[in-house]
Amino acid sequence: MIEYAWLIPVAPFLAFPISLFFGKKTWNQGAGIGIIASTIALVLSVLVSIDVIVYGVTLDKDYLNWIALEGYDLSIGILVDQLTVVMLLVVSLIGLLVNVYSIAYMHGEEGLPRYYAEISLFIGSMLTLVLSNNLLLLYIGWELVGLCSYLLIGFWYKRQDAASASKKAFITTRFGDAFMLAGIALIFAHYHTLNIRKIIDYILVEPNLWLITIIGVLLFLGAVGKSAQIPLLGWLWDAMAGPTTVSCLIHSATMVKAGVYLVARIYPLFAASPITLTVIAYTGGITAFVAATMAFAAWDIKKILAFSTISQLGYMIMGLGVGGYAASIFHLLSHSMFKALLFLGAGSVIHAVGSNDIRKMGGLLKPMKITAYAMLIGALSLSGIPPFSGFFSKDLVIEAAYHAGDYFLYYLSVITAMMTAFYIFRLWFYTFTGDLRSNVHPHEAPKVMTVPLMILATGATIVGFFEYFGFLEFITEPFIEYPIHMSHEGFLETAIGAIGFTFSRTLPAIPEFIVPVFTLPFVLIGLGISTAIYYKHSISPEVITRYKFGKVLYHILESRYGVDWFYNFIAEKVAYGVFSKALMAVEYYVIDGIVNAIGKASILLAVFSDLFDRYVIDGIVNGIGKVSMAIGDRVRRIQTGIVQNYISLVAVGILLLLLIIGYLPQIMMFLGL
Amino acid sequence: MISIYEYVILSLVLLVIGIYGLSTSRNAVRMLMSVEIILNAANINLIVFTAFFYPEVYYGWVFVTFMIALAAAEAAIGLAIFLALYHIYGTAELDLIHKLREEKVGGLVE
Amino acid sequence: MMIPYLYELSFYLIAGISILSAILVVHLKKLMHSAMFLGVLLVTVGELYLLLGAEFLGVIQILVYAGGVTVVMLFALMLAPHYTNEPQQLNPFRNIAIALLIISLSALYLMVLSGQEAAPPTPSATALTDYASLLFSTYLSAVGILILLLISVMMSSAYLSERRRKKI
Repeated sequence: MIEYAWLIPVAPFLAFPISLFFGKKTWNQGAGIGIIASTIALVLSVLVSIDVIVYGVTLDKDYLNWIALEGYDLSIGILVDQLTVVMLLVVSLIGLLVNVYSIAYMHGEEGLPRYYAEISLFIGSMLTLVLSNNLLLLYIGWELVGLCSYLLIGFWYKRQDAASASKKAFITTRFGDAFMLAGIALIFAHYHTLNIRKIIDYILVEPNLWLITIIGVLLFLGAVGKSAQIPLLGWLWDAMAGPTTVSCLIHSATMVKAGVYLVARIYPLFAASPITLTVIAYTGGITAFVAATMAFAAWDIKKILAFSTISQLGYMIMGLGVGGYAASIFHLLSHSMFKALLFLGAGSVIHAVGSNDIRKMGGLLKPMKITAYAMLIGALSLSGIPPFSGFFSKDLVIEAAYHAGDYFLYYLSVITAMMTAFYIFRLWFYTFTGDLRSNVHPHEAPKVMTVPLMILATGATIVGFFEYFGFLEFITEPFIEYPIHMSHEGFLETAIGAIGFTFSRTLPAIPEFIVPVFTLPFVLIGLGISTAIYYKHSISPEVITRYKFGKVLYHILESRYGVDWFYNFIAEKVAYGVFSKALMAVEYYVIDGIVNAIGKASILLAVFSDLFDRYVIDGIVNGIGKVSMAIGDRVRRIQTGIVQNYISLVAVGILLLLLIIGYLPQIMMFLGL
Repeated sequence: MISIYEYVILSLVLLVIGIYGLSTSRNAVRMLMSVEIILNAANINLIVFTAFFYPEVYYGWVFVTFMIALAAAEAAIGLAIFLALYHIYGTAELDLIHKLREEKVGGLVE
Repeated sequence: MMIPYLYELSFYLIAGISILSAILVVHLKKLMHSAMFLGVLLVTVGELYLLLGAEFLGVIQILVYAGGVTVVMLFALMLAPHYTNEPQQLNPFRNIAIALLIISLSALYLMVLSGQEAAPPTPSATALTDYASLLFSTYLSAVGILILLLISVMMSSAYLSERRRKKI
């Protein structure tokens, strides 16, 4: 079955034009097509996964030679291994659930065929991305999912915030992609191939450390853009202007994971250089912390979840950075489950209340029992409370930081986990407890929306136990053949890793056996504080704002550390102010100057040719006329009308003619002919 | 011995007289008579050359025959035309009939 | 009878007469007088033909030219009354003309009677036949055209010379 893996993206890709052109007339305006396509993709993914999981078969096959160059290998094909399987299942399952959910959530919207078409296109592109065995096809899929993200965020294109957000998303990720392309180009130039396994072989055989570091950092910048890490994180919370289903599918469960996937896919390239690893790890860790703080000052339910996504992605990336490859992928899997769950639940709530603002919600536990309990499971999972999946996966990631010896990242992650629990329960309490703060009559969502919620809730619960079914060994299977240099030795000696080094020297060491359970108390503390403030209302949040420090802190968090302002600044002052103005100056003075000069020269030429035409040419023509007339005037006088004159002339003429003919030889000799 | 030269000179003299008369005379009929003189001069030339150089071949005679006939015809037509002219213009003096003359001589015709 | 140099004498006589007549044709004031001397000229030229052995042509010349063309001209001259305002006088030159004619004819007659061979050889007996056959075989088409031409000349001159009744 695994040889047919290439078929997996086909159905969603076909659904794109079918839904686009014929969707209007089909069931639910294209929903049927989307559901059928994603079902096919899911079924095929499951079948392929069985081959990998049960039989341990993998596939690395080239199908097409993109460009045939002498000495270069640029062929595209698919790679199916354990990592692929995880991604395939996640993408196709959540794709199907979102398609089903959209039947009710997007009911009555205009442009639905376009919506389902773009969703299917996205699913197809994402599947291509994860199935690719070479960086070229991966990059193609990468850009395609970026395009779908742009299209879907801006689905309600008539809204100003949606249109700007989609542009921002695309440009920000594109900025990262430019560096990624540079990295790919470097790889191609140096290794003459873009096939992932071949690159890994080359790297393992002969690692050129500086080159690998540079390539790694460049590729990682692409991942930074896609996965919304610092500094390219500004787009993800504005992307919430799109439909909630889009936010769920793309911006929590799948596309944003592409950055993580990229690093995981070519892991030996990153792992070979400790510098790259430290960059990755610290980016992830710090992003996780910062994003979590931003969630404190957010009132939009989707934005809170967006910050949460950024934070959790930070965890995954940090996990990869500290060498916790399997932990990171495990967290990817479980996060997809509960984050999708949280988003769909939020969609259900928004659908009921008609607003995104949690200040307008409250007391929804009674009328929306299924949603409430599903979101509770999601919140518990996200916080990392057992027995839900988040506990197992997040803990493994944090432990990886410990094992790398980087206490800075370790403690940072623990504190972030505490904050995660805090903000997510803030959200839950605001939404479902207390009294309803607006004038709507909420009711539970229809079955098509609640069933996916229940499926995901189930997933969020059981996935955690995969650890005990050998998931971690399963994930690291590929690297049995490819021993990874876990450069922990060099990790702490790098420039950035020195932070962790100092921390490990100054802070007390934690005994090994405490580590797995070290996080849990902090999480519970966070949960407790949240309960106290938002459920029991024993402490009022306004307490903080009474102090100047609190006001300032709130202001910073609310403006998201000025990230948006910074983006605007770069765009307006730097890009526009400097570059655009410089180019404008060139255009105005140089280019227009040349054009004007040419114009003036043409005019000069025209004046000159006019004069020439009038005086010279007309002079000649008129002159010829005048000469002809003058000659004619003279010659005319022969015509006297007197016959005798004519006769005399004729006689004289004949005489002359006879003489000439008669003496022709002598005349010719005289003239020398 | 009369050689050919005498005959040729005779023919030449008659020709000259004829041309002189043609260009000098004012009257139309006199011009016609001068033409007849010229034609006869030519005929003499032809006969002479046939007689002296081509004794057995008589192409010259044939040509002369045609010329006599044509001269007669032309004289008839010419006289008819001059009569008509005389009726129209009231005179047969050809230098007074100059309708084909350029009237305006000198200056550009715009 | 044998007159020595008869041929040369005849020639110079006839030639002189022809030249004289030609000068008189051109010179004389009255057209009638010119026409008369034109007739003399034509006859003398015919005689020259006879001297040169072109018998047929000489006779044709005298018949057609002198007898036809001169007469036509005289008729045309008579039809234009403008030329003679005075009453007709006797032509003073008539006698000279007649004299010249007689002299030339007699020179010719003597030539013929003497039987002297002309300077150019006497034409053969078959001259006329050869000439006629030439005329009617090789030049038959020209003869035909000539006939047509003469017919058209007749018609056109008849048309041209009819009196226009107050048309001009």
